[in-house]
Amino acid sequence: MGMTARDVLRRTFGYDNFREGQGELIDAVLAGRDVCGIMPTGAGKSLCYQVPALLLPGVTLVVSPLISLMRDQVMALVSAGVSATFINSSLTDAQVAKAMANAREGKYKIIYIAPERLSTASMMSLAAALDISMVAVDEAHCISQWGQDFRPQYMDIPAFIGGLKRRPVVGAFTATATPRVRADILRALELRNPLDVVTGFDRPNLYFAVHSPKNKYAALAAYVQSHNHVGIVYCATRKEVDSVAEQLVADGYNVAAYHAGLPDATRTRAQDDFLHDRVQIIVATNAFGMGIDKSNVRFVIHYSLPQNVEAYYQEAGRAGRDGLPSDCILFYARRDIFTSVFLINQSDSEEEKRRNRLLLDKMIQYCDTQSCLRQYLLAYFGEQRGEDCDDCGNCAPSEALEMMDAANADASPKRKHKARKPREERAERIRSRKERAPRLAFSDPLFESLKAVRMEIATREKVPAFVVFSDATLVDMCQKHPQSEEAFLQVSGVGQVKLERYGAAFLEVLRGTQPANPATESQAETSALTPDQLLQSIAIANDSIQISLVAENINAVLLRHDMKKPAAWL
Amino acid sequence: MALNKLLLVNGYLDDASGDKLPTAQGTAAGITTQRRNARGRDYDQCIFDAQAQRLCAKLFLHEMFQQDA
Repeated sequence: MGMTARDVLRRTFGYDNFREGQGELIDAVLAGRDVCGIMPTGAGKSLCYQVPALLLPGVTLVVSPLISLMRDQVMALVSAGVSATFINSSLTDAQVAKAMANAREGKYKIIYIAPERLSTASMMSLAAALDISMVAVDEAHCISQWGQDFRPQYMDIPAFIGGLKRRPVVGAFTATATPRVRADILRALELRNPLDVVTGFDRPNLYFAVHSPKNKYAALAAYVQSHNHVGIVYCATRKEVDSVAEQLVADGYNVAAYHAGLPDATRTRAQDDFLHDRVQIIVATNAFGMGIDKSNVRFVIHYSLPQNVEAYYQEAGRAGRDGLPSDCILFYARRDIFTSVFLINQSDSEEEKRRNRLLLDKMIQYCDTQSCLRQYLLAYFGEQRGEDCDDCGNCAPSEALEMMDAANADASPKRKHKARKPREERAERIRSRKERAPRLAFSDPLFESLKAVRMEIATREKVPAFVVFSDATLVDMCQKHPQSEEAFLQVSGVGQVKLERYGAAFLEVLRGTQPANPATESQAETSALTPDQLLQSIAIANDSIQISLVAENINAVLLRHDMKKPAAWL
Repeated sequence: MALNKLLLVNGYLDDASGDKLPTAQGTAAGITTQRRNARGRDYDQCIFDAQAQRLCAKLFLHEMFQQDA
């Protein structure tokens, strides 16, 4: 019997189960039906075309707008044992010729291609020689003029497909699409009777907040000082990027700046340093990030007002792609509106100005609302839900927000919060939402050891760390604590090829440590624990550390044992 | 109770100067300070060695269990 989609998912990608929407979309593609998948970032859109690509007889072409995305996806596929390549302007003519020759010889199952290549004679000639089973259009919202990332070259896709000797299955995938953009995608790509799957836009692991500090930099410094994590700071202008990055560097942080005014080489280095964890924070304009597949971004701070809600949700959504808890905080000052209006007015087209002002109004409403921020965002994308999330800056201010208030002393206006529900009710709902996200294990010393092994391999193989394993896979490794190759294969994100390539190095570390969180531990055992027993489980750093990190280490253990009261330090 | 407050209540920190700084008891327990600067303003950041980290965890856990009892 041949391989099934589930076999491919397990053996190649190392996952046991499909996530919401994936199974339906993959089944439809394998049955020869066009599909349109709207799924939030981190929900596994790529697998919806990568899994069928390995089961369909011919080649799958993936149209993707950004070079960095193609490179990362191909690196991840190759590291999982899949034959894949990309063809875009980052390759020399000789490299393109070689990739095309290999493609003609049938050496690839998946080829990523930039949209502007589709209309070239060489690509048409290659396409005529290939058996193309599927064309997957990634970031499909780029075809809509209502989307903030409109790419005229995407309009060439239907003509390219029409010119093929046999029409392949066509799939459109995106994370960000309002009902209007969605309609544009279906129409402009000429999808035939597509299976249209919208799994919902909620990202339960993201904490959204709007903060209005008078001194934005003091608030930012207070945040990054207490969160020793990887993050992105988005600014509205190049000048602001340079200024914020300089201040962070002066304060001793490991920071890179990224904007379109920097030389190509500087931008490429900044992006690579960030992807490879050589810098902790990247300060950037919106030129940075589309197609960035870095999974362990723990915070995205918008230092200024984004132009519209779609751009905001997409940029903020770069946090927590691995499903672990992450912060999305927007610094809002009413004076930022003038900068935004100024930028909008640079357009020559009155129609475009009108459209962008309408979109900006929605963004301002998000900043001004006293209601649940998650509800607002979901409603914007056409998803109605009747209840507040009780886990955003308006429903429940976090310790981080209070700390930023403190950093602004008297300068920060008091945030207003709507009437809150009883504590137990809030706690129960937050708990049930967060159960969908893996538990945090950043403070586990084993996690640090596994990260060190990952970094060593990534450096040796010259790939970003997340190509080896994501943070979520390392967290699962800490929790399952496998001691054999068979058990290692049960870790989420470990497939056969990754077991063979990396298993020995990680197992060596795992075999040398005690499990921090035995999976067999029952709730009854947990409730019987004494303070001193819990104390034994708390990670103690050899170096002197700040109190916020002490609190994180305590919380890691409390979370592990389902204790309801996290340790606040402030 | 927040960790900082627990340390204040138990005499390990003192905030009479406006900043939270270790008392003699706090210093003996492993709390020290590091001089830092943010936006041109110098300040002292309390940091906790291994012994002081254990102390914080112990104070917090015992207080949490006492409240639940």
